[in-house]
Amino acid sequence: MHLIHEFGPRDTVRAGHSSFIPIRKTIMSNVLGIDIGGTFTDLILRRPEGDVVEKVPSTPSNPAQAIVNGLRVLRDRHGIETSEIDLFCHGSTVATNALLEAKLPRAALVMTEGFRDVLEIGDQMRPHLFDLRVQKAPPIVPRERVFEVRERVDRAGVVETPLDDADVSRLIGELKAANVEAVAVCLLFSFHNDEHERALARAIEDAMPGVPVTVSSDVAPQINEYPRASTTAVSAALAPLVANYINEMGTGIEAEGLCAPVYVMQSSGGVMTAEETARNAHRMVLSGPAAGVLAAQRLAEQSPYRNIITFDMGGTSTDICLIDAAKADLERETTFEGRPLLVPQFAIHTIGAGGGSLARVDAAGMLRVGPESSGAMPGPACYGRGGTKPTVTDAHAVLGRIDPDNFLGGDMALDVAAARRAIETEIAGPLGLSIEEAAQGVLDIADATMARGVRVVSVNKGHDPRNFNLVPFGGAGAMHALTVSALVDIGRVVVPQRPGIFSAVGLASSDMKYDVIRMIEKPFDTFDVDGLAAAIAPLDADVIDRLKDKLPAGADMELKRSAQMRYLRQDTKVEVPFPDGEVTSDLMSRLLSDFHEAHMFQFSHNDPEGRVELVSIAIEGFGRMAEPFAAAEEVELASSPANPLGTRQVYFKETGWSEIPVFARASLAPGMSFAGPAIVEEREATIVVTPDVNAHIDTAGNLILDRSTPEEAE
Amino acid sequence: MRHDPITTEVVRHALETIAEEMGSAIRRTAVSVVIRDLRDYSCAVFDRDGQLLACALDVPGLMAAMAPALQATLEKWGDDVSQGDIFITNHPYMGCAHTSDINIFVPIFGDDGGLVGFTGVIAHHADWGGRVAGTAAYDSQSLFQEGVVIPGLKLYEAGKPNTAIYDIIGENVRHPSQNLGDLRAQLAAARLGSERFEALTTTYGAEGLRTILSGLISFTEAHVRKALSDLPDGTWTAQGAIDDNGITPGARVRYVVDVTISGDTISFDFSRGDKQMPGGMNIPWASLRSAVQYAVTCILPNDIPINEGVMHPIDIIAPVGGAVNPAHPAAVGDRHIACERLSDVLVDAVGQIQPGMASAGWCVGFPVFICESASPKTGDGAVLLGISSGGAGASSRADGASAMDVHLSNCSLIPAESVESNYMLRIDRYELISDSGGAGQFRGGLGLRADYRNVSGGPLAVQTEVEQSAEDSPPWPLAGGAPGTNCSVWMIENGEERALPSKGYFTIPVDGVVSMRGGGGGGFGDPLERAPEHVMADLAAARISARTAREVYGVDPETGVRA
Repeated sequence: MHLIHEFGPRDTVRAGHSSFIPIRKTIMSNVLGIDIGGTFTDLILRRPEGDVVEKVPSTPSNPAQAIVNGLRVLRDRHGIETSEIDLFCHGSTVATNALLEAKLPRAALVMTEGFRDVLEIGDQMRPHLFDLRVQKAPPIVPRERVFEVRERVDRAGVVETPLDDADVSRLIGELKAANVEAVAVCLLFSFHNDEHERALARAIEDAMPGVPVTVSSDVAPQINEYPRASTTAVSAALAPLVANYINEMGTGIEAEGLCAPVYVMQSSGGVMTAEETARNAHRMVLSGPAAGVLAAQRLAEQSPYRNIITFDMGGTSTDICLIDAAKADLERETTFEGRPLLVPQFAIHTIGAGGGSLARVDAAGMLRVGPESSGAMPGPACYGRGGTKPTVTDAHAVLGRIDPDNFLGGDMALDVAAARRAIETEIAGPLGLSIEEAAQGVLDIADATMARGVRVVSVNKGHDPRNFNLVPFGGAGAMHALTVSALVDIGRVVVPQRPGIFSAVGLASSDMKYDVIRMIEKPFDTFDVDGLAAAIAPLDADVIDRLKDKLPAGADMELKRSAQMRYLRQDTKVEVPFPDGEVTSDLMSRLLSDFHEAHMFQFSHNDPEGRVELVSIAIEGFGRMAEPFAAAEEVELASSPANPLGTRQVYFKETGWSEIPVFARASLAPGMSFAGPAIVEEREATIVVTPDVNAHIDTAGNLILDRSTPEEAE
Repeated sequence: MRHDPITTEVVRHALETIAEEMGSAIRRTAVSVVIRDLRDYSCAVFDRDGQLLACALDVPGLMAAMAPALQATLEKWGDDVSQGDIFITNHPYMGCAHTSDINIFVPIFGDDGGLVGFTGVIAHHADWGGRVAGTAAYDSQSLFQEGVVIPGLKLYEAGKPNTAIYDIIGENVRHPSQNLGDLRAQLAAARLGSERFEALTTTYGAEGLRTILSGLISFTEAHVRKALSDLPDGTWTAQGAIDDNGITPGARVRYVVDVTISGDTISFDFSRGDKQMPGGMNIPWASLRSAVQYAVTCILPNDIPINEGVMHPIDIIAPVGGAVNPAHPAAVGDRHIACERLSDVLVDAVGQIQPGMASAGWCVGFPVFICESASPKTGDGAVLLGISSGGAGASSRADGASAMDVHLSNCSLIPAESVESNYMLRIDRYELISDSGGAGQFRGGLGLRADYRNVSGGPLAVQTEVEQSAEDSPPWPLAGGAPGTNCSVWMIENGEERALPSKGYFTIPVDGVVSMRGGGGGGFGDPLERAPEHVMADLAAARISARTAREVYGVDPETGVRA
C-alpha cells in the first residue's frame, strides 16, 4: 500500500519498491495548530520541551483576528516569539459558514447547451417524504446566472460539436453583462477531454481579467454532471471569499512577525498551502471535524488501538467516524447541506444530538430528546442565560456529573438549581417521576440516539463494532462514551490527552496532502502492464511535482494509490488499495483478486469470473511535516493507585446517589489505575467512569477504560 | 395500562436501528439495480400479530404495504409458526401490492418459547415472470399474466429450505440469477434483523418486551388521536381520474374519496369511485393502505413515530371490485402509476382539512421512458428505466419546487453522462419547461423535459408510460391560482415535433428524439397578488415569458410595474 519517496537535497525520486515506512525525520519541531470554532479558538504549540495550550475567544466578524490574538497570548503568557514557530496549520470554518448562511459572492456557471438547470433539477428526489410544501436547497448559482455554450464531447472524449467563436463571444458578452465575481465552467464529459473547458477558461480570463475561473476538469474530473457541476460551482463561489480571508490572515500574522509557512486543513485530513486554498475552496468545507478525526488516526498509528470509532460530541451534534487499521474511512462522493461535493473527505456521520439537545414530553406522553437544540443562546438551563427548557447537559448537572464550581476551569458557574427546575417542570412533573429518574431517562435516550450513529458507521459498512475502541473527544464525548459503548458492545474506551481541543491537536500533527483522481472507465482486461503503468505515471508525477515544490527539503513523501473498480454491468464502485511497487503482471492479478475480495466484504457476494471495469485511479500524496505522537504502549500497572482530588455525590442508575472519587486528569500518570465509579476532570472536558469499569493510564497518557464484563453491560 | 415513557423511547430507537441496519444490508448485498440504486425496498419489524413497529424506507409507497401481507400469511398458518420458519409471499389478493414486490418474514421467539415478533423485507424484483419483460404492464388483463404468484408459503420450514419454491421461481422468471441473488440478500437482511431483535428479548425478557412493544404502538395511536381530535369534525370530498383504463384510450377511471373526521378518528370512503378496470392499473388493498397512510402522515405533526398506531384511528371503506380494492383476478402490476393519481386525490382531500400544511396539486404523471439498447461497454442488451418528473404545487408560503419526484415514489434522475455511457442514447437536454408552473401569488414548480436521442445507428424500440396527459385534469390550483400544465410525449425527427400517445410502444428512427415532458405544479392564490419583483425575477430567470408577465401577472416586462 505504501510507496515511499525520500527526497535528497536535489529532487531525485526513488520510486516504488519499498513496503515499510521509515521512521519519520523530525522535519519541523515547533508546530502550531489553531482550530477556529464558533465560540473559542483553540491553540496548541507542539515542541520538544513540552506542549503549550491556549484558548481565546473567536472573532466571527473577522476570523483572522482570533489567530493574531492567539499569537499575542503565546508571546505575552508563555514568552514564545512568533519566530520560534516552524510551521502553522489551521482549520477554518470560513467556507463552511459562508455555505450555511448562503452569503456567497455572485458566481456564474457555464454549462453545455441543454443543461442550464443541472443544479436546480439535481437528482429530483425529495429531501422530506411527508411534506407537501417540501423545498430543495436553493442552487449555489441561480438560474439567471447559468449560461449555456454550444459544444459537445461524446462518451469517449471525442469532440462532436466544436466550440464556435461567435457563440463564445455571445457567452462572454452575457457573462460581462451579469456582473459576476467568479465563473464556474462544467461541460459534459470534460473528464475525458478537457480541451473545451480549457479554451473557454482562457477566453473568459482574457476577456474578464481579475475574475477567477474554475473548471470542472480541475476540481472534480469525475463522471456525472450534477455532482461535478455542483462541486465546481461551490468551489468558484467560495474562491473570492477564501482568497480574501487568506490575504487578511497573511497581513495579520505577518505584522506579528510570523514567517512560518501557513497551511489550511482540508476535509480529507491533510493540509494544503494557503496559496492553494483559494483555488480549492471546496476542499476546506469540513476542515474542523476532519482535524479531530486526524488526531484520532494519529493515536491509532502510534498505539495498540488500531481500530477506532471516534465520538466527537459537541453542543448541537455528534460526529462519528470509523478508523480501520489506523486509516480513517474516506469517501469521495459526499453532500453538504443537500449539495453534492466530489471531494475526498473523512466519512464522518453527524447525528443531531449533543449537550444542548432539548428534552421534552411529546403530545402522547413519551419522553423525547432532540433533534431541536437550545443553541448558543440561551443554551442549557444550567448556563444561567435565561434558558428554561431542559437539555442533556442539564441532566448531567442534576446528576452531579459536572462540577458546578469548576466548569470550563471555573470560567463559568453552573446553575444546578435552574437545571433541576427545568427537569422537574418539563419532565419529572408531567411524567410523575423523580427528578433523578427523569434526568437519567434523558441520558438513556440520548445514548440510544448516539448508539444508532455508531452502528451506522460500523455495522452498515460491514464492520463489527466489538472489534473497535471508542475514542471520545469534544466537550461532552467522554460523558457518554461508556454508556454508548455498552449499547454497541464496545469493550474499551480510550480517552486521549486533551480531548477538549482535539481538533487543534490534529492540526498540529498534519501532513501535507494532494488528492488526484482520473476517470478511466475501461474493462480491466484491456490493460497490459505497460498500459496500466502509463495510465498511472502522469498521476504519480503530478502529485510528486506538486508536493516537491512545497515540502521542505528532506521531508518524506508517501503515495497511496487506489483503484475504483466494479463489475462491468454495475453502477456501484468498490475502492481497492493498489498493491505496493511497480506495475507488474503479478500486481495486476493481485489487484483483481483484491477487488473480488473487497466486493465480497462489502456486498457479501462476488463473481470471480465476471469482467471487471477499472472506473478510475486515485492517488493520495502525503508530505510528512510534523512529528508523530509519542508511542502509546500498554504498561505494567504501578503499585500505587491514583490519588483522587476528593469525592462528590454523583447519581448512577446502578447505585443511586453515592459518594465517589474525583480525579484531576493532570495528576494521572502512566501506570496508575482506579476503578469506577469515578469522575475525571480536566479544563475542557469531564470524563464519567461508570461503576462497571476499570481505568488505567498508558505510556502516552491515554486514559484506558475497560468494561470488566462486557456481556453484562446495560 | 400505563406504559413506560422512557424505556419505550429507548426501545423505539433500538427497533428503528434494526430496520435501518436491515436496509443497509439489503442495499449492500442486493444484485439488481432496482434495489441497490433505485432503492425500491423497505425493511421493517413487526409484533407477533403482524403490526408494524418500525420501518426504514426510501419509497413511501411501501410504508404500509407489508403489515397486511404478514397478517394474511399469519391468518393462513395460524399457530403453525416455528423457530426456523421463513415466510415468502407476493399475492395481491392476500395483502400484497403487486407480484414483483416479494415479501420475506422471519419470526422471532422469546426466552419463554413464545412468539415475540417478526422482521420483514419487501423488495421489488425487476422481472418476476409473466406476459411481459419486467412483469408489470398497464395493458395486462389479469393476474395470471403477472408472473409467479406465491400465496404466503414457508420458504424455510424449521430451518430447512423448501427447494420446490426456488425451483418453480427459477423456471418462471427471465433472469433467475438476479432474482435468486436478490432473494438471498432479502433473507440475509431479515435474518440479521432477527438476531438483533432476539437480543432485545434477552435484554428485556420476552414478556417485558411484548409489553413495551404494545406500548410503542399505543403511544403513536394516542399521538395520532390527539392530533385528529384537534382537527374539526366534518366530511371533505375530492376526486380525480387517470387518463385511461390501460386498454381503451380515453376511457377514464375515476377515484372519489369522502374523508370524515369524527372526534379522534378519520375514515376514507372510496365507495363512490369507479369499478375495477380491464387493464393493469388496479390498486390492491396494500397499496391503497400505503396511499392513505401517506396522505394522513402529510397532515400530522412530524414528530410522531411511524408504526401501526398511525393506522388504528383510520378506517378505510373500499367495497371489493372497485378500481381500488379490486376483485381477484384483476391485474394490478402497474398500480404504481394509478397510485400517484390516487394520492393526488387524497392529498387534495386532507389538504382541505389542514390548509396550513397543504399545497396545490403536484404533477402526478410520473413520466417513464423504457428502452433496451446495446451497452457501449459490453455490447450486450441493457434496459434503461428513465424516470423523470414534474413540478410540485405551490403553497400559501412558497412557490412549488421544480422537477421533484412525486408522492409515493422517490426515484432519482439518472445523470446524462451515465445514460450516455451505458446506452446507445444521447441526452440532448434535461431542462425546466418555461411557463409550465401554474400562475399564482405563489407559482407552481416547473416540469422537467428530458430528450433522449437514438444514437444506435439503427431503429430503437422504446416504451413510454405517462399519466396526466388528459386535458381536463392538470395539476390543480388552490385559492384562485391557475392550474399547472399536463405531461406529454413528443417525437422529434428532422427538426419536426409531433405528439405521441402518452402510453405506448414506439420505434425511434436513427437520430430521432423522444421528448418526455413533465407537467408543472398548480399555483396558489391570485396571480395579480404576486409581488412584481417576484414576477420580474421569474422573467429574468426565464421561468416565465414576457407575455405571461404581462397577460397573466399584469406586470409590464419592461418597467416591472403592475398596470
